[in-house]
Amino acid sequence: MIYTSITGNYDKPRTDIKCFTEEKFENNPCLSAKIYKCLPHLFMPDSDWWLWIDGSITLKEGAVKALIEMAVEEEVCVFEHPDRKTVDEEIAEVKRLKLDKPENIDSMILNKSGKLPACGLILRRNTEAIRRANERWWALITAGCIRDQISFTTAFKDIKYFPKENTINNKYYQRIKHKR
Amino acid sequence: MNYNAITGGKDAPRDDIKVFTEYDKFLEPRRNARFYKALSHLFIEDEYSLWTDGNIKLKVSEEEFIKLMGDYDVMAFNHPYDRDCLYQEAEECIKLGLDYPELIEEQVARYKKEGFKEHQGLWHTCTILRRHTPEVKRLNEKWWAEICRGSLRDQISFPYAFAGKVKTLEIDGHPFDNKWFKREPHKITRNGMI
Repeated sequence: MIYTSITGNYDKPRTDIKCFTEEKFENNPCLSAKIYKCLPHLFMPDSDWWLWIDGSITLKEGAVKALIEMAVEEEVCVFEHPDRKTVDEEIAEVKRLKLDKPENIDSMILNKSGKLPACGLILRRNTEAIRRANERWWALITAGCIRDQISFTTAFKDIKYFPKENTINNKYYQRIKHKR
Repeated sequence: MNYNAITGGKDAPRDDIKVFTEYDKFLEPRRNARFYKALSHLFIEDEYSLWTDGNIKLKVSEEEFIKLMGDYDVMAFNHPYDRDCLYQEAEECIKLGLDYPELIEEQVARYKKEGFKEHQGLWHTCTILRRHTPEVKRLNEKWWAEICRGSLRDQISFPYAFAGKVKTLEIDGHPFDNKWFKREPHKITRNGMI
């Protein structure tokens, strides 16, 4: 299942893929969008796999087949982050841009090893391990920093990384600017 | 650590146990309190945590409860009103208008479809003793996900997350005043009256 969520009038709702728009949490569009991203097994329990894409991403023809082929038997796959290499670099960037309160970040106990993912596109299989990792990710995000790239490698193990790509336009997808 | 969360003024402040008040990421105070209730392992570093609702005064110490837990890692009281099933609890919550009916119906339909059987136990989540093992941490996260996805009425999702793992302590006496605890009225009732 290819899906996204668009809440809070951030982008126009999509009709080409499954698009969650309901604001689960009043006056909180960020966490309302994030719950769908984190917990697909509770919204689409019958799917064998889920491909999350940001609301601003449009997949190119053949991309899904190519991504699934690249994934082989792996249960969770993301692209490597194109600009930053580590969780620490991401934390520094989030703090510099004031994307969340420093105390929300500093309170988190994180696995900072491994590569930094680009979480605009995530391919996951519906397995017990992934369902539990999804729940761990949601707990970490609601407890700490809303910027999900920081906690992804803490929640998920054995991540397969697709090679770095330009995140605006590459052979798999194109990203358009947010409406606002 | 015996703890509680007061995030919306529903209960009077208390100083006999640790009270968490800071979490405010959700607009609904009840959800902010559930955050602390469900995810004990994220902010309590002790091996054990003992959640008690804000209006519950325990008559037994945490140490004594730990002894009663035996080989289990989770302990809670049985539900006091002759229900032993999350599906019965869901019906009751709908009947009493405690949450959106369609939300509860969708939630239990998912459990049913997944094969979660009836009469798997129902617990009074006013008091929960947990040992923070890796499995309990995982089940806490499962419970929190369910509380956010489905109904805020956490007694519906507690059995779904924890059934088979809970040592049940029988409430011995009146549901509001018994061998184990006394339950005071909330400062603010369900109708918002003080």
